Amino acid sequence: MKRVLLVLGILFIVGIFILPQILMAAEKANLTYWGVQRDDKTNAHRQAFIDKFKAANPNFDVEVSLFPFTDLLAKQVTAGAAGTLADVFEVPLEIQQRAAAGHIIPIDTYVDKEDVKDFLDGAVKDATYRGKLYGIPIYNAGARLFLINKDLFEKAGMKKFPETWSEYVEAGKKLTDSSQGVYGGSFDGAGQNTYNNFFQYLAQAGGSILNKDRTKCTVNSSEGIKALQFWVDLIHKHKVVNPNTANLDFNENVALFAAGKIAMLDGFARFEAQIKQINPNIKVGYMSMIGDKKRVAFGSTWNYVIAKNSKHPKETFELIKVMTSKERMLDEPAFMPTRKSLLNQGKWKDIDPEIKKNLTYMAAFEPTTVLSQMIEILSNSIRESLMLKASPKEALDKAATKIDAVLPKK
Amino acid sequence: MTRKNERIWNYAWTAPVVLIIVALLAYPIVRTIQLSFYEYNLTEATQTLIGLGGYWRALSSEDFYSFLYISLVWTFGTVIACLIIALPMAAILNNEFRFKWVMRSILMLPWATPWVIIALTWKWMFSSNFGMVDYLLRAVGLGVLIKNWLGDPDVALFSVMAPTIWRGYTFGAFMYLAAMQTVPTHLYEAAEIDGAGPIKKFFHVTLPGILPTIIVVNLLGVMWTLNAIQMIWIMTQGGPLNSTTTLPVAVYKTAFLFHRFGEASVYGVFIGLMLLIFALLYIQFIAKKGELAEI
Repeated sequence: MKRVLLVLGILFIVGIFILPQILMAAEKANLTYWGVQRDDKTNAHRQAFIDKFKAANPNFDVEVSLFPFTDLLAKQVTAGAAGTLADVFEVPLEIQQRAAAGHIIPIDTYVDKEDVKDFLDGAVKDATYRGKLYGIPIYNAGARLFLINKDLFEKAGMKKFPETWSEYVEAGKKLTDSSQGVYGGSFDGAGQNTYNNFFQYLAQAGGSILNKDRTKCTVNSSEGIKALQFWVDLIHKHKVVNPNTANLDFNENVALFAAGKIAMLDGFARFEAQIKQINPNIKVGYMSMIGDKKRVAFGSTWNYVIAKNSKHPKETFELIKVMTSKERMLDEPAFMPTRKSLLNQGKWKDIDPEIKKNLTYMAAFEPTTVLSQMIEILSNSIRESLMLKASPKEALDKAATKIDAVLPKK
Repeated sequence: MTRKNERIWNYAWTAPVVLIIVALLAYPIVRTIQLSFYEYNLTEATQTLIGLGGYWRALSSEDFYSFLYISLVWTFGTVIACLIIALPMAAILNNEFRFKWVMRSILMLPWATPWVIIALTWKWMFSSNFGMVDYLLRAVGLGVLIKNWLGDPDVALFSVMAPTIWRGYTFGAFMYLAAMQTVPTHLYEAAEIDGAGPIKKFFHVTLPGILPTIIVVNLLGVMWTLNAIQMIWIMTQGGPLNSTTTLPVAVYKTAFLFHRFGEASVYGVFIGLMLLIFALLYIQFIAKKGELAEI
């Protein structure tokens, strides 16, 4: 009897330690994924590759949560501070902020260094912080260009695309019919995109937002004042953009373009899907970004990163490999590949030549850890000038002073 | 059961609820006050003790006074406008007329409609490109009154106040209506005998009779309106050019867009102090009302 009890006791103690391990091994581990809510086709295409990962890794489940763009960025910051980030999430230029805050881990030890060479150099540079690679670029938003209303162009007898600021103004005048509320040009005077929209005109004039060390704001240089004056003149002097442009964000500009009220929409090629959802009958074409001293088109990429709090970083990287595979990028509905080898393959071989040409003008602004504040400060100053409440010099001087106050001191 | 046992049971039954309230209210309040003494930037993961430095920075910044001024205009403008509309509305509904119940039901609709629906609908109505307000003004020959309702910094705050007042006055109207129905009818009869007309009856009988309700409703209105950011956030997000950025909106932006939690906490403490003043006035008033009732 005593022996029986002893054996049962040993089995019980062993069972307490081993049985949970067996049960845990049988359960699926959960990876969490946070992404941006996009159009239906893009969402479905993304989900297909997540399902592919799940099929190849039956021990893992992937819980996907999609958010509007600004909500996702805000959530990343608060979750990062709380240590509750998803294992993998999508992040654009704010990858620098996430790395500086210690919310994501470097992935140098996981990546295939030969494979990294296939990604766009600028994109890899933007995903690098203090010499370490923190992300793999996934979505190439492409470079800003002009989507054109082909019917309006035909009606105005436009045969040649403008390439310089003055040619753009002349084209705008030909395309504008203010009695019908139709305007030749556009830009985002309000919203999240004002910053990147203005950046390209600033760069076209030969200026930059920050100095090389990223310690001082240089937006109030003569080039910056020239760029902002150009925008002010487009509204108030040449009258070739909607008079309410200071209050129009990209969604409103897209809606106006779809309604036939804008001939040259400053935006991204992927807006065509949104435009066609509003007005399937509109004929959309593309025109490369214009320039002053040089042609510059803002472009950036989104990245996949691994959270510091991830319990499965190795498996998370395996998911990232599937999500950044050539197979996925070849058929991506709205975004261009971030892999150089794919830019001339499949459907990307046949993309509009203006889009391809425009990629050669692509540049991004200097990423910083205070990007959100810089966007707010500069956007407000720009709008002040567009509303004629301050001259371009006054507005940009004010912006530069405020931005200098928030830039991290090295 | 002895008195002592009864007291112990009372404490025991209420203890869980009190603990939950303490956890959900006290901890965030204490943490906010604590954070206000730090420079705490989430994106740089730095937390530096600066003592009263954050308060000094706020009190010496132009932006803070701008947010405070806008908060006061927003709060008192909305509450006073609601009062001016709600009182006569309640007086009208207090009379007997056909289909009074239809009017009362229609009046309830704005209060029953979710904030988000109201904000989005009014935002569309005020749109310079597609909005109904401009269309109607042009249709009746008043095109000269057209403004950039949500894009002009001089006008945007009032444009956001409009739907807030439209929704907010209905609560006051019903509270005043209920209070009017408790005013003794013999007072109206006495006033009639003395030759008082409807307006004199309203100012000398109705208004004094419902004054306590007016005070309570408006004190609560001030506290609710000061804290409210949903209408502002959906319609203008504090713009254009911060012309609709009240202190609570500034708290939200500073914390969740700029990730400067220390600075946001300082604004939060100022809002808390302002609300505390009104809360104390409210409690004082209720206590006095209670004493009078006992007498």
